[in-house]
Order: sequence, then structure tokens, then C-alpha cells
Amino acid sequence: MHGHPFSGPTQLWWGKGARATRPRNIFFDLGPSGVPPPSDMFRAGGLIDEAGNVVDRARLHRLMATIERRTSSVPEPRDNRNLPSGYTYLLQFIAHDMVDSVPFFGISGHTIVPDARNARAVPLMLETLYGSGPDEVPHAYSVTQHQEESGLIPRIRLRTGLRAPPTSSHDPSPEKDPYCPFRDIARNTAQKTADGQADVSSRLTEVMLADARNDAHALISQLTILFQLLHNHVISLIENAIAPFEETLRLPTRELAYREFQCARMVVVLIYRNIIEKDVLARILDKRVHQRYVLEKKPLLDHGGGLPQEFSFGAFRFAHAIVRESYRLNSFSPVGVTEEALRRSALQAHFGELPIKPNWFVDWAHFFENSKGIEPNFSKRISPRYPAALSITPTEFPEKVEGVDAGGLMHRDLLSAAFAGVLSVRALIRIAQEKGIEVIDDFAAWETRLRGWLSSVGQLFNPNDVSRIAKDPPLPFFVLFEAARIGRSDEADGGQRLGPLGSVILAETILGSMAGHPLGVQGDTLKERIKVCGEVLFNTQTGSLASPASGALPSAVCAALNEIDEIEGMTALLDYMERANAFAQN
Amino acid sequence: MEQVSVQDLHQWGKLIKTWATGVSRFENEVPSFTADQLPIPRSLDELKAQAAIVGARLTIPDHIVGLAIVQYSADTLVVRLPPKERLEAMEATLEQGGDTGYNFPSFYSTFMGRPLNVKERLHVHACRIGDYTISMCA
Repeated sequence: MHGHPFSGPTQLWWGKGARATRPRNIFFDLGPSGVPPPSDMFRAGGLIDEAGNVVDRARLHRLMATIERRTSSVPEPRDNRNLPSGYTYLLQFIAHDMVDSVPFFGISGHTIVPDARNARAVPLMLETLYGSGPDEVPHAYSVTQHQEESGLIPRIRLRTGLRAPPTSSHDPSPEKDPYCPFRDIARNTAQKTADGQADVSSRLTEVMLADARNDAHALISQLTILFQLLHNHVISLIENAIAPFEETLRLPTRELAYREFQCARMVVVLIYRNIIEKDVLARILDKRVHQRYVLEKKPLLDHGGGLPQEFSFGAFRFAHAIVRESYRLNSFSPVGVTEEALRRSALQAHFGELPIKPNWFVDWAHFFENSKGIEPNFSKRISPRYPAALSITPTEFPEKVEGVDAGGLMHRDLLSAAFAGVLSVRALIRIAQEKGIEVIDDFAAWETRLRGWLSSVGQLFNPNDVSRIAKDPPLPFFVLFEAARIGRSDEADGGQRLGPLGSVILAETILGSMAGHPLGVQGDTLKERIKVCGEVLFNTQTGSLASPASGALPSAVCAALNEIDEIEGMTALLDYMERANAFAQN
Repeated sequence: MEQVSVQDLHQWGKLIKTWATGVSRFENEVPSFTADQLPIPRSLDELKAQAAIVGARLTIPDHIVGLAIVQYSADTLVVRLPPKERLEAMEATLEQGGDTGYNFPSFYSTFMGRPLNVKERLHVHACRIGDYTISMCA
């Protein structure tokens, strides 16, 4: 869930007739020459006109609802042993770190003109974790003993809930649950009275996170804790390295704290980006696309800047399809039902399930490959089907209109793509092929497969609608269909990775985001890059830290940071954090 | 033993209501269906087809090959006895402790313990009908 411009009253947002601003499409830029011809745009088989206006809104909604209904009859996919379930939620975390849609609207004559902008100006810098930093989102940062002793220095540790070790034999335990932080995120009530008591609204409705979307459900909030603890651990490494110098060198405490924070953040971002490139993309991209973009590092083809609509309203929605109905969470709890995870969020604080109890504390050994002999939950193979848990309509979605809408997440995703202004699948395939990506099947082959699949359940579609969808499928639906290889001779192997088109969109956008916002830290290995952070941020040759006696400071910090492993994946991260005792920190 | 599963008890319950009354509960849905399109099924394949088009997300394991649909009158007490082997298997599972696999459908916790509006009442009514019609109490 990364927000979108249509999250509001149905008639307000979904009643729009025109877009306020032109979106950026993949392979096009926002300059005058970057406007795709109308014939290349997704038009829902004619329900959207050449100017991008929806001609018949109710019919468009019904068409998308019928596609959703067709997908609900797809059998539950097999497990994808290529992709443990932790990646499902890491992908959501990454989505929050790339897209933060802020909706707004204007009025033109008597027409409401909704629009949205992506507030995540710098993607993949962990703004979803850090926000604008401790000065602007102090609630996400903790006040520590060290801070009180050192005077007025900025908060530099991320705030988590307090560790809650097991209190009974029925709880998960550190021995059996090696990668479990044993805590919830930090939460609070809306208000307190003057004597400190919670007011009538005593529910824990407030989350102490920089990005409240990371509390959309228990699994994403538990994952967020993992990265919070990684940051706090790196802070500890730096603090311990600096401590011997503080008294003798009389370093400026406030600046030093900022440098500690920025250094730790840079190190965590380096680890995070390394995991995305070396682990996440290796698992989800089509192997040939992965070879081209990641291993051979061939040039990117999209230079438009910013995120294209085809990523945020199309390909990246695939992760909704790999959600399981339930998960094993830790050594004790039976199973956690995904629908129940949604109730463990401030969005649904009225259920009274907050703070999250030990039975929902996640041991990440159950979600990622590990050296503990624990078989993780595996994600579902990618297919044109969302789990039933995502068919409910959460409170932040528009209410469904009877006779028009299906409700639920898939319907929302399909409609979002329709209104967002994305390129048609036909055009995307043609353009990618023209740019030298030859591994994508011609659209004509897909059209035949789509027609057969849509027609295979009687009574759902009229022939016109089958033709409409087969000729012009919604992108988020097609990305799933392509990944599942439906109708191809190798369909039985489908769903373990994205198909070529979905992979190209993801590779271009994710690698383009990292290339477009480099960290300025060079080095062949993660360790080398981390070392540069320590050297530069604690440079004592120039600037306010300059001191003839402090020459050993950067060396000490670099030595401390050198303790961090060459982390190239989630398995290595968890191993390292356990060994470094990072899960047990407060 | 693999069991019949229904992932959308609301849709399933509305299908049961349609069969029981002869009045479609899907005329305001997308896509919409009349009662004529949803007759009481005469075979498992017919049942599966109807469940698919209304979005019930029904899964019937391969070992189930027969179908019996019973409609009783209001003046008859009907006591459905679950299959012996399934009942005993579940008892054995429950006695083991730990992961019982005996979870209540999630709609109960969604709707219990608070006043419901009319729409919610009809929703939970359909879910309950869907649940007790399909579950074998074991």
C-alpha cells in the first residue's frame, strides 16, 4: 500500500474527468518531446478517450470489477521456493521508499480536478525509515540516556517499542526464535490529559514512525523494526569508537551527533541498496533481464527522471499477488492469518489488538532463508490472483458502489492504472523491443492467450469485453499474467519471477533510481564503501572536527564499522545482526 | 485430510441464500447474475462453476466426488453428523496441542462485540450461513 490519488470519497476522486498534470511515462520524459502519442496509451479498449478522459466511468469500473472476478477463480498458486515471504514485505517497504503519493485537488469551473504528487523526491534513500531526519520528525527518534548526559544534541537513534522478553512458556523465546526483535514499534495514544492520563480515546492510534504506512499491518511494522535496529546498532558501533576521544578532544557534541547520525544512515542505506541489487532483484527479475541489467550492467534505456507511472501504477503492484493467506510467525504461534495482520495497525486500533502481543512478534528465520534449519514461509507464485485477505476494502479505500465496483485491492489497482495514464501493454512491448529488449513475446501472442483465458469461465464477460481486454489489458493485470506464463508451453514453471516486460519496468526504475541518486561513495565492495563513510564523516583534517590530536578518530570509526559483514542479502543481514546482538538492543 | 475451503464466505453465503430462496443475491453485483443463472447445482462441476463466477474462492479436494444438497422445512430438526473419520482426526490433532489448525473464520472477530448496522448484519448473516453450510464441524 503506497497511497494513490484516488484514496478518498468515491464521487470525489473517481469522478474526475481529466488529469491535472501530465504523468511521466517510462521511456518518455516530461519535456515537449516526451508526450506519447494517444494511440500508445492505455485506453481500456475505448473507455478512455484520446485525451485521457474516461468516457464511461461506470462501465470502466464494471469492466475492472469483472476482471477482478475472473481472477478470483484462479486456483491458489503453489509456493514459490525462489522467494521466501520476507521479500513480500521487503518489497512493500521498498515501495514506501520510492512512492509516497500525496493527493490534492483543484477546481476548474464546476469540475473537481484531483491530482497527486510523489513526495518521495529521493527514492531508495530510506526516507521511509528516517523521514526528514530527527529535527523534523522527532517522534520517530528516541531520547536516550546518552543524550541527556551530553546536553542538547539531536536525537540519533530510531525509536522502537521496548523489548519484551518472553513472560511465559507459551511465548516465543530468544533460543528458539533467533531473529526476533521481541517488540512492537513505538506507539502512543492520541492525547493525554493534564495529569498524564490517556483521554477517552485510549487506543494506540498514533505511530512513532517517520512513515505511518509502515504500520499498515503487523508484518510491515515488524520488518520496519529490523531496519530500525540495524540503524541503532550502527550508531552503537560509532558511539563506542568515538567515546575514548570525546573527553580528551572536546569535540563539538552537537555536530558530532549529526555526523554520527549521517554516517549510520549512510551505512544502513549502503547495506539496503546492496541487498536490493544483489538479493532482491536477483530473485524477482526474469533471468535474462537480470543478466542484462545487473550482471552485465548494460546501459539503462529510460532517462526520463522520476518514477514512471508504469512502475508505481503497474509493474510494482505484482507483490500484492504473492501475499499468503497465513504465515507461521515464530516458534510458538500456530499461524498468523494475514487478515489478522491488517488489524494490528493504528488504522484499525479500534480492534484493540495494539500494542502487538508476543504471539505476533516475527522471528525472521520464518521469513528468509537462514542457517538455523528453519524452513521459511514462501511467497505464492505470481499469478493473476490476489489472496482473499486483500479482497476486503480497508477504511482508507473508497467505499465500493453497489453494481459498479468490486471493492478490494485488485479492483483498486486496476482502476488506479486506468486513471493514472499509463502506456498500453501493446506499446510498451513494441517500444522495449525497438530499444533492443528482444526477450519479450510479441503482443499478438499474448492477445491470443488473454482471449482464451478470459473466455474460459463462462457467463462472466460478453464477447466485446473479452476483445476489449485482450487487445488492451490493464498493465498491473498483464504483469501478473505474463509472469504466470499463462498459455505458454512453459506455464508449469511460471510465477517464480516476473516476466520480461515486468522485469524491464522494475529494473529500469529501481536501478535508475539508484543511479540517479548516487551516494557518492565509491568502492568495489560494501566494506570499502562503508569505510569511505567513516573516513569522510569523521575527517579530522579539516572543518569543525579539525584537531592535531584527533587524527586517530576516523581510523577508530572505520575500524568499528569494519566489523560489519559484506552483507549482500537478507540471510547475511540476519546472521550479522544476531551475531552482533542487534536484536536485543533498546 | 484436505478439506473443502471457501475463502470468501460472504460470497458463498449469498450463493447459498440464492439457492435456498430462488432469489438472486447477485443482481446488484458486478458482474450481475439472475436466479436463472444460478440454479441449485446438480453436480460438483456445476457447483464449482457457480462458485467461480460469484467469486467464492471455493476449493474442493479431489477425494470429494459426490454432492448432496438438502433443503429442510422449518418444522424439521436436522442434525448433520460430521464424517466419523474427520471428526476423529480433528480430535487427535487438537489433543496434540500447539498448532491446532482450528481457527475461527476471521469474520467473527470483525463483527463480534460491537453494534452492527444493517449492511453489516446482512454481511455477517451471509458469512454465517456460508460457514455452517460448508463446514463439517470437524
